[in-house]
Amino acid sequence: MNWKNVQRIFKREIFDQLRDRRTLFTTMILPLVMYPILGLLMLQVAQFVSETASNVQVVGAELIGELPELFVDEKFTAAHSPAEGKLLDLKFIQNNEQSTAELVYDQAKDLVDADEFDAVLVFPPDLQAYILALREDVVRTRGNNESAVEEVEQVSGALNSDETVLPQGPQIVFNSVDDKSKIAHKRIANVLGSWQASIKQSLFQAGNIPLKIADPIAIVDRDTAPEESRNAAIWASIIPMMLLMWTLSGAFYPAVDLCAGEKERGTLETLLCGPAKRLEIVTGKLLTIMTFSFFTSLFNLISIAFTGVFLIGKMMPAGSPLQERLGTVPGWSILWSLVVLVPLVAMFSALALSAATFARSSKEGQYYMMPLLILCMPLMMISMIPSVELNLGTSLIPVAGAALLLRNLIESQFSVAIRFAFPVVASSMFCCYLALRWATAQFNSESVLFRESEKWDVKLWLLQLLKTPRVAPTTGMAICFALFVLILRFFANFVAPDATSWSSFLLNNSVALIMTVGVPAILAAQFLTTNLWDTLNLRRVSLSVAVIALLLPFSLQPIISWFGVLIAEIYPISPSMLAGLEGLEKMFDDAPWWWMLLAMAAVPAIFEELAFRGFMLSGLRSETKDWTAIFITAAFFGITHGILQQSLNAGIIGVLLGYVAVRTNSIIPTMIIHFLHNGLVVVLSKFSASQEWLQPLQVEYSEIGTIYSPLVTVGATLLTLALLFAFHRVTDTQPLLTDTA
Amino acid sequence: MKPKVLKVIVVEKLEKTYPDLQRGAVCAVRGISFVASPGQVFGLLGPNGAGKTTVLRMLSTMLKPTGGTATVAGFDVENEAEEVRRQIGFVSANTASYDRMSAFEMVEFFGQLHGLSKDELANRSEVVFEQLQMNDFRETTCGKMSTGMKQKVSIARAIIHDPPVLIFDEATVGLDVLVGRSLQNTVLQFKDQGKCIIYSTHHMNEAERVCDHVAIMYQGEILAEGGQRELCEHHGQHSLEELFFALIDQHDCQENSAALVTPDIIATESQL
Repeated sequence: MNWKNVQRIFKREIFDQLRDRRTLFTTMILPLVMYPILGLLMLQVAQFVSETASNVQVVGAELIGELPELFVDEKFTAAHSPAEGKLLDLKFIQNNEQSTAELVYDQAKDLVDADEFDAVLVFPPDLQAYILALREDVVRTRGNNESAVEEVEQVSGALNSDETVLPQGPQIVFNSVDDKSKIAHKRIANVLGSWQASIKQSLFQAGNIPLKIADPIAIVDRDTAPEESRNAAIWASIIPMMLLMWTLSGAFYPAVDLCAGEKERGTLETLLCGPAKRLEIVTGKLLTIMTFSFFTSLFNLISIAFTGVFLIGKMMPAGSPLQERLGTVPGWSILWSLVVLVPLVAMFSALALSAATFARSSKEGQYYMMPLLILCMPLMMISMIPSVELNLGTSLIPVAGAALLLRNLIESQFSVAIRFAFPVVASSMFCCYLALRWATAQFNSESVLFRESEKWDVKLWLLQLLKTPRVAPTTGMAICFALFVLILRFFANFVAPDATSWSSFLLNNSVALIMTVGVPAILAAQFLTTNLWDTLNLRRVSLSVAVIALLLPFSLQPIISWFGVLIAEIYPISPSMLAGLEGLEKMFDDAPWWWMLLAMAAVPAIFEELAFRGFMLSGLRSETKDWTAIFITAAFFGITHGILQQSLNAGIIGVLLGYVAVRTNSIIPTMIIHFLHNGLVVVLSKFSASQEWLQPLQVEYSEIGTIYSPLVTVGATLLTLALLFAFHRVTDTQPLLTDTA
Repeated sequence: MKPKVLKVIVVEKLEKTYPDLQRGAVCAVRGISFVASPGQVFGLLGPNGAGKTTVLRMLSTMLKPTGGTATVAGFDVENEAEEVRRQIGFVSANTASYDRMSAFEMVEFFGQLHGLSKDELANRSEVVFEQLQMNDFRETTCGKMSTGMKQKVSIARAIIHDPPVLIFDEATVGLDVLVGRSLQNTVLQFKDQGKCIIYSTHHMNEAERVCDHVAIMYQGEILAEGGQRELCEHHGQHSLEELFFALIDQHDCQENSAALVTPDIIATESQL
């Protein structure tokens, strides 16, 4: 690769983009302007809401009588409402003693619903009598220490309990859906809380009881989090998501202009017949997109910080919780987070470059933005879920790991961040590598670069597919098939009735698997290709291959079990899932072994192999490299298994099965391996406890239970390697029969 | 270093088949062969969809042939693509200019990509801008230019490295008569400079004026190829346009009769 050419292309693209007002606006000006404007608007709204007086009707204020004073000059007394008093506009009406509580409530509800009042405060007729009676009781029991405490507890408890226990208490009628009404409720509740405390005080005084008895202990909070971490709490939940979102958007807009836009203007053709290599063009464009993506994030960060510190932090009243929490930006942490952002910038840029290269026009390119954002959004939002922590499992999840690492960095939790920085960066870099490969492949694909702009007619396409079957399915067909299977499996899970017994469970599962995985594969191969058997890779294999296929599952068993342990360590199975699995195991206690073998080993081995190593692998191999086809097939094979831990395990086995299928051009050996692998799991789970000869081979491993001893596993690994070596020697990568071959 | 060759472009049994979602496998170019020499304007004539652009894209290494071979200045288009690209200048129907770059910046960018040094670039730019009379809009951004001006920039960009081969793919489409004529004159100037020019068009009068050797393409095949006068005389036609229609009619008739005759022949053969 000629780096000078890369540099020239990069320089040209940068200058070109800097002259594009739309890109400049989206990536630089919008972030710089948006947050201050949003901040000012929020302040305005907050001020408006907080400073507008609530309109409250007070019913029966005259019934308070001798109770501590609550109203003065048609307002709450200043003692009970230092701040709220000014913000409550009270209208008084008398409580008709003849009215029932329900009637009063109905009238108040009508007033609130009609928006005539934000809230209605109702004092019941017998409130004064009730409190006076309480006071009398307290006075009467004065002197008797044992019963006095009990009495005080009763009084205190009664006053704090809800209105169903204490019908005599004042009622606040409000509408919790209406924000104004909610604010009015909060203000009144604050005033009444203070008034309630003064009633309590007067009762305690009447009984000559020390007031501190009501709250004998004080709970002291000692927060170990450093002040900067506490202050960064809001930043930590907002910034990662915003940064990642803008990293993607900042990459996408230039990418669309640089690729789809160039196609549209015809300049890409000029560049392609110039002296620069495709890889140089891709790299130059990628670096440009990365630059814009990074600076978009940086400008967003600066703008968010500026808005937080200078607008919200300084303009909010000093000492308010928001002012304390937004007033300081965790500066160094944010700088570190920018470093973490680099691999993500590369990943999103490569993704955007691929999608934009695929698009025929800028308009089409814009359409791909939303699906990409929707796919990434749940992963980005993980940083906003407090219960999700950064650990080995989460750090390996693309985007989500980075979001959590960013959160930890902003919270100044450097010890955790450093521990998991490597897996996060490694996972991001791996995804970046895949995205980059995809982008380069797109740039080398004639069908992508010179896609015609004519409309794609679905009807014509389907007719074409059915009328002129191909020798082998295409990659597009394989991917569509895999997505179709996934959708079918998804719906099958909903439609399937709840299993009540082992027989219904096994029957439902088998029927669902055949109908959603096996039958579509057979139908697709029959109608879309010229040779069903070749498409499904149903070919005979040599005896030596069959023997190796028979032995492999046995030697693999301990290794796969340890993989399971490793996966469970990284992604622990949730207690609810464990409980469900235990229930399932109990259900199988009565199931005959041959039934289980048929449903859990034979059916998956036949139909999953027909679909994945049959139709899908054939399709993928027709246009992609063998290993790419193997990994994509394994990924889809894993995803169809539903449960994360099971999917990862299936994905690993899927790679091996794919390799075997590619080397033999047949799914017969993969069916054998698949059947024996599943069968061994079934048989061992059914009989291992009663087989004493197995015990020397196994050890106890924490909560997982019994597992193969390390010595057995090492032996099995060596045997597996020997078998794979032998397999490699007796087989050769088989060329696939395709339309272009 | 390859020796100088008399036949700058040699195309042999060149084929291009590509998969199409709606039509299955489409054969755009069906084993065509031709040669072009320095100081020659080789016209590739044909209606839309004849396969002209596909041939030119294969010659400029944008597409890979699915059959046959082609060499440009002695370099194979498939295996020595990078070298081929150094030997050619490609001008397409859409003016393919960067709207936010000035004429000079655009020409400079491609000159740099071709590895011209600063001095070489300055000298060469001066010559090219003078030759194409572009000095008046040297600093104007392409977005503000007329189609004719943009096409001049496109030609300047294509010849900045002084390539021995120039490819014009329907370069006069969208240009007015005056600008079109000016472009044709420029092409003739390049011919006089000894460059080998592949000139694709579907305007016969344009081809008559510019090309001294033509190949008439239809449905991915070359129906006839040779000097203009010889071809017309050979087929008993007075002009290229008449020759063009006659060849296409002849081709369509042959295809139709083949379609009608074939089942009968098969039936007769099976009876035998």
